[in-house]
Amino acid sequence: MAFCRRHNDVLAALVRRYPGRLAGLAALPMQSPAAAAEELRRAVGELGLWGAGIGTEFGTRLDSPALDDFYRCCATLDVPLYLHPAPAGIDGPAAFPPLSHYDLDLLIGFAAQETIAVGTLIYGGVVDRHPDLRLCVSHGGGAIALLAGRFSEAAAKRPWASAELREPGAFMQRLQKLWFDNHVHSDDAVELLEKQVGRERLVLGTNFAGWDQPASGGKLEAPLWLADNARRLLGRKDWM
Amino acid sequence: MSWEAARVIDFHAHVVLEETFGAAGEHGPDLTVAEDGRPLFRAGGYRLHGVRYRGSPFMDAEVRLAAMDRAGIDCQVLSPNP
Repeated sequence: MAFCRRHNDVLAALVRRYPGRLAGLAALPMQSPAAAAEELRRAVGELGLWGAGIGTEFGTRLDSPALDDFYRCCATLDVPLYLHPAPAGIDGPAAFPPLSHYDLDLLIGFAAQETIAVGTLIYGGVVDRHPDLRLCVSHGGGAIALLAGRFSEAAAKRPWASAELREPGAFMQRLQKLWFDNHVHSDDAVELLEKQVGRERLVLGTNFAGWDQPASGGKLEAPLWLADNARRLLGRKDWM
Repeated sequence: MSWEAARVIDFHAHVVLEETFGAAGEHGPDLTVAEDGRPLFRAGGYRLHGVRYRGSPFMDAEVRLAAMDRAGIDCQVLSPNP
């Protein structure tokens, strides 16, 4: 908690210096959902941050009822919740050993966490219980665009699926409530994602200054609708 | 620039804040120099070698904004370093 409070205080001071260009998402102590909700209220209400960025594995499953108050808080504050994995071992269990070479923990580890997050949020009813919550998953939701068919099949047929999930098209409808950033390094992959979920909830993501940037550093080409989507995801009533 | 007029908004950008180093007690995080002279970032038991955070857009706002200008990014939403 101390780390998150300090992080959010410092981040808020930073974005206050450049309000027309930078905004901040709060770090939250997800080990305690109640503390996380409290810090989110402080970060948004007092510090002027615009939502929260959390991990996908922090000890409590994303569909746990223990998170419902936190999700409600986020929805009431009308701010986005951005889910981005951490390398295994920081917040959650240590990496599955085959992931420990060739940065496979960043490549497939992240995609696995993101895909699992999407599946859990939908199968676990989070999307249904919190219809006003704007959840954005990084890296195009991992592999979900490719696996949407299998995930739909499971929703229709597996014994744990609720009556709602068994309805035709139930999984895809819920997938189409989630938001995704498009940082997948492949136009084909983004196109597949767009085919599954449409383009209304895709936002531009670059992992700015990270290891995976284009070397040339020329100007990005990005259609205006991506910025319009980002504005809707942020949902501010009072733009800078 | 304003968020309403922005044509390019980047939603996936992480920030590393100097003032948070050590704020998690024994878990750090911290940014030191390893034996081989390369930077070493530590958070709890996790270690990341060789990433130059200081003086980069991760830690320096002016460097970030200049880089955003070069890339044609009007606005950016900063999230915690995972």
